[in-house]
Amino acid sequence: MAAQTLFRFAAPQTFYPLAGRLAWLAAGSAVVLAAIGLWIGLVIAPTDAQQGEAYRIIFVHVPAAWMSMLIYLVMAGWAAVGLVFNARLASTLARALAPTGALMTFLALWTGALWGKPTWGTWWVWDARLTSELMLLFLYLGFLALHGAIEDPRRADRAAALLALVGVVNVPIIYFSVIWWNTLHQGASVSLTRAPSMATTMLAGMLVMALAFWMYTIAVTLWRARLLVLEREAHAPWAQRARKALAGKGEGAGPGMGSKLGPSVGEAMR
Amino acid sequence: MSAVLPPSHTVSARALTAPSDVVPGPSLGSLAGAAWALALRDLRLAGRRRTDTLASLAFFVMASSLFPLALGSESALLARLAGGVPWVAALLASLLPLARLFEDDRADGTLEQLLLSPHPLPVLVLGKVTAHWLASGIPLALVAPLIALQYGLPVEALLVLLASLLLGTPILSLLGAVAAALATGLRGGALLLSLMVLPLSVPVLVFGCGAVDAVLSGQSPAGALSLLGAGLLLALAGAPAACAAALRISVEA
Amino acid sequence: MNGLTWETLSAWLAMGGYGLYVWGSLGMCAAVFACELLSLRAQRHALANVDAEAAGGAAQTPARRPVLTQQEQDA
Repeated sequence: MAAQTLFRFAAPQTFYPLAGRLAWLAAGSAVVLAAIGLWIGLVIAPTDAQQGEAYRIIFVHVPAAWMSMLIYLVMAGWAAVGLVFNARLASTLARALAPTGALMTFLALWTGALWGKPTWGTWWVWDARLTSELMLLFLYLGFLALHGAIEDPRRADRAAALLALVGVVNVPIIYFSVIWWNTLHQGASVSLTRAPSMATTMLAGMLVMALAFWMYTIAVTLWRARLLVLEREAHAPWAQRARKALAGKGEGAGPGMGSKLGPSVGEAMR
Repeated sequence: MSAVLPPSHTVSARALTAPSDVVPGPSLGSLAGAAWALALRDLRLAGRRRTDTLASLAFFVMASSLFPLALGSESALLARLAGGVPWVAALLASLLPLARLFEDDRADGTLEQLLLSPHPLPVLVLGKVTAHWLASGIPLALVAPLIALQYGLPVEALLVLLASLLLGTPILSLLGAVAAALATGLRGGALLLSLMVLPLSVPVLVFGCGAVDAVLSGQSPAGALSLLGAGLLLALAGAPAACAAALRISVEA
Repeated sequence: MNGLTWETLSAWLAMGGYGLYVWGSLGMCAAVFACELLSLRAQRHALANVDAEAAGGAAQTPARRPVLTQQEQDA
């Protein structure tokens, strides 16, 4: 049955090699998509009438922001599965997603600030979206801090999962309250959310970059999940074999992938 | 093993000495009675440890005094801050007693007894949170208008400030209880608590100050206050259950 | 479509005067992704070396010892 086949991957031992293959697939896609997206965004797309070249920041700002929100939803989803069904691997996936989500949120904030400075004159704009992004960053940090503060992995998983769920319920409320607050204090800030209507090229570039960021997220999350699984299943014979395989491949020298990561990561992640 | 109420043991309010004497008498077997007994016990304990409440109030007053020192005492500026500063200071001051919400009970084993109780844990939690709010939230709400007067808040806004805090502080207590339950027994719990609670309390802050701002600009505060009320109902519906789940996660190893 | 927007490489790098902001954004993205990948690599090394350290320390004692002593085997 299909369900049985799929649930097979809920076992860490079957998940590990599958995650490795999927991660490489995703990583490759990310590189290709990023190349295309950056070509479209930085080279092909026309200059914006109002913002000049500064608008090109959206090609990383919007994908980062989208990913920051998507990752939180997926993280909360896996956390819920782990909490309700007592599935360790689900909790591991949630924990693996969190750092990438936090980094995406940071990137959204950083690029947002760099976009705000030339267009609106200030390094920070208290518009609804940026302020909600800031709150989202705190939610991610709270999740990681709580998880890190608890020794027992099972309690850590479940406590952080509950926090993630409380957060996901609150995110729309926080967003709505910040929009309300923003309209109340309209005079003080101008909204970055009212972007000019986009030329097709710009939209295409943004979507391709969004996909690239998504593939990157999948790759990094699966790699991190593999490491977490090895740590948590340290007692299991298959995990010990896998660790030895990591150590063996890691010592090997050679040109490898030619990527900036170096050969050992490439081979060991296989 | 289960927390069966000893039928022959009656407890009078004044005879309650040790924290572990949480034994509602036979006439208080009902659910509401159990929660109320728990709340009364917590209030009595808070009354004996008055320093906690007073420390929280002192922090509130001191933190409020820092803003004019930092920003200058120009009255126009302070009048604009008059709604926000008491709210921010109250929010920060409410974090202090939260850290201790479950610690004493955890230390002496009462928490495990509560988890074993035949009464639904969310209701017992509601009792504890009510006591916490009565002991720490209400004093903050009552002192805040005095702080606002220091900032030159007009009289008509004072009542709205009070109302917004009376609606908002229980929400903070409820949300904070969930965070306190998650962080109970952990090192650095107070900081962790703040990190968890502050993002969640942003809507409360926004609507609370929004109500005061509405009055100051001549509009009706009803919108913001009713949003706060809705938030309180939502918190009352969801937070005790979440807090109970968090307690089970934290205590059941 | 108006084809390539840029006349020269230096014009492209300057980004119409907004070079600092555009490249600052892209550069931070690249830096963050690089740090993330490097940190994963470091974690992987740490995990792999856990075995190496344990193996070095336990070199004198085999992982599995015979359960029965000589006496029990004789019995």
